[in-house]
Amino acid sequence: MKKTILVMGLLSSVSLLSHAHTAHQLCDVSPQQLGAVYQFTQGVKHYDMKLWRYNGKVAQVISQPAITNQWNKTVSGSQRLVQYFDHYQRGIEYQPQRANDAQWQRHTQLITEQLLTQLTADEVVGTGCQQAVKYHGKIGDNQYQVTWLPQLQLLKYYQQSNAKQTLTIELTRLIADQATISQQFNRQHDYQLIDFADIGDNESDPFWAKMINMGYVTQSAGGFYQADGREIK
Amino acid sequence: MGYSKKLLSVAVPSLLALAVSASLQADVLPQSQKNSAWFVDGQQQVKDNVTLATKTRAKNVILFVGDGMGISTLTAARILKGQRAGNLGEEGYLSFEKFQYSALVKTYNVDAQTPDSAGTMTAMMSGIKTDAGVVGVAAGVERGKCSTIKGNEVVTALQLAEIKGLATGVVSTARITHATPAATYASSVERNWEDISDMPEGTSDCQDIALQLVNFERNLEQRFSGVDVDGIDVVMGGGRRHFLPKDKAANSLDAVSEIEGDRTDGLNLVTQWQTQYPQGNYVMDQQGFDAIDTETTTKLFGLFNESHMQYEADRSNDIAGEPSLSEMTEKAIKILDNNDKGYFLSVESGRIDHAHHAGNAYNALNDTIEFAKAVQFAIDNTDPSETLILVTADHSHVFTIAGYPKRGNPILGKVVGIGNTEPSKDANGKPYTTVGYTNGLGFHDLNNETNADAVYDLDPVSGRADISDVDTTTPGYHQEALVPLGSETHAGEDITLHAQGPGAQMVQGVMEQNMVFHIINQALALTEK
Repeated sequence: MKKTILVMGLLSSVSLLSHAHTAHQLCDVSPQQLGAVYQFTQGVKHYDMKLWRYNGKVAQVISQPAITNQWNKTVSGSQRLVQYFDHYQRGIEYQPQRANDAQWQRHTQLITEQLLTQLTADEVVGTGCQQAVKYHGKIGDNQYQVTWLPQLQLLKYYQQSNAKQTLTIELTRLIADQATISQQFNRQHDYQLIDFADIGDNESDPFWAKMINMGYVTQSAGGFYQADGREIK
Repeated sequence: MGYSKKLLSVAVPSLLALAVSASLQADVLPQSQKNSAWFVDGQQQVKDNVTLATKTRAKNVILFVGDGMGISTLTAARILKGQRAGNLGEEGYLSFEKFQYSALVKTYNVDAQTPDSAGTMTAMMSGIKTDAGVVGVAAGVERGKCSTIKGNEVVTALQLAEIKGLATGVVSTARITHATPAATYASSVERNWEDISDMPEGTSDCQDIALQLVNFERNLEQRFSGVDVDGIDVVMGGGRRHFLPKDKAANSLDAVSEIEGDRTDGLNLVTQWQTQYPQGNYVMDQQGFDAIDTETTTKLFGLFNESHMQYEADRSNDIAGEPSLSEMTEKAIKILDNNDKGYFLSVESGRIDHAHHAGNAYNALNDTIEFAKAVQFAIDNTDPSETLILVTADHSHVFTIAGYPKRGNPILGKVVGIGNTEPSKDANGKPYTTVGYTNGLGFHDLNNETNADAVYDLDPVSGRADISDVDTTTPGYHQEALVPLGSETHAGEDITLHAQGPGAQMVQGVMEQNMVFHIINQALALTEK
């Protein structure tokens, strides 16, 4: 599908955000170090997910259940996941995985840039750090509407709908405060961690036994979660 | 001799009659039977066993432990090994399966019908069974309660070998502080206390496992007045995180975490080891490993991964490079055999267990084949008249070989029955694999993914999958499981013990797992004055 861009004029980025962010504030946010609060809506269900980027690491935090998935890249370029169970102050360290850019983009941006290339960019709002691009398109049975903040490499709005369901993801708040952001990556330092490979040998620990018997709250390939923490298919 | 002439006069004709009878009986056998390879091979094995004259005292003992290597794993691995060599597979042997002596071993822990590695390896190293989850301590302790350790610490075969003046070594593809290797040198009421950050408050009277490894010489000398030992001579495995401080500055070249070390006491046990043994060599990658001169090296400390070492199939993907289990075994034997008094060496293939937990037969079998290769090196490079080689597992897994596949059917493939070319179908019309699991994460098709643990990113799968168009022989295929669990579990049936060398004749019948220690003790006379 040929991508067409319609420049609709200079609209303030402030209007693109649900909460009061001035253009100045938006431009103060670093794409490498930020916090972004999203609201997920699927049918009558709503829940929040926070996306954090800091020093090359990325974390996705959901509150129900309280789970933080944190990824970093190793020196070889592999991607490594640590999954924290915040209520229990426990975590699982996973073996680094060979992964492509698209998978890293799912962690850091929630969507891949490949998806954007498959959609039609039909409206550019604002310029520079305030710019937002609106996309739409249909892939298979799914209809997409996306608003993308290219300067921050950040999703502002996403809607995926088909005959069965509609999923909406909306950016509700941006966080630029460095202390708040770094705290998100430091708070788990004292958690009790276990290597993924060792869980099967720890059935006597009630917490890990529950994991063995009930299955894990999984890492999400797409970064989208249901209210129970499972990936949206 | 006290035989009477009368008795002899009766006996001689009887013996003649027996010989004639035997000759006649032999003639009864048709040529097709007598000349069959099955018949000839079996007859030769019996003749070999008749002439065995095994000594009871050994100079050296090597204990090989395949973690989670149950009998079905041995069977499937030997078939896979044979099929990779272009054979049908079933007729072959893993290296240690050719040993003349073997036994079935009961693996249960004092408090568990289905055991874990901590309790089982403690039994093999100390001669007493203990609870699951504890390392190098008797069952009198309460797991995780530091105050209960006093008076319950065992003395291990490796410690006794040290005291006797033998060279000693511990090798594993798991973290070297993991339960199995730890049970050779440490005492801990919790297997997970691999470094101080794993220990809760109120445990200051207990030492973490990594610290016990580095302090091994000092601790043993303090424990027994007048004892003078020189420390473990060869230590190789994974688990650097437990030896390094939680400080980015201490990271190794191939760290995968932002901060590799976990220690919260500020200690760098690698540099501490180097200070204690200035003549020793610390290595952390393939290049450093390859540079070790086994004729001049007296102390070797190798930590090749932040956590467990790689699966054999995944080894080439390691950032800094890792030696294989057989390479580490070779290096260890060549260093330890420089000691004229002899040596005790423990070698563990730690990741057979992990692949099974992930429900991935490919890596479990592939690592078992590498394990057998390591044993083969020991067979080829030691004198069977002076070295007792013991090969065993610590426990089994719920791994099964099922259906009625025809001879030579790919062991990782779908069941194809005798006389058929198409896979057999279940009651729902779906094909099924020969190997599978009773529980675990179940079916996942990860194609050529060589890291079995990639499956932990995915949900458990229950129910039958349609595998009609799936290549189930790829490294990334995860077999179906009946009971959906987040991790496949250990199994409680017996495992095997195989033996060659002086004292091997003690390995017969069905035995308790703690007997392994007593066989080592007898062979090396560890507790004799």
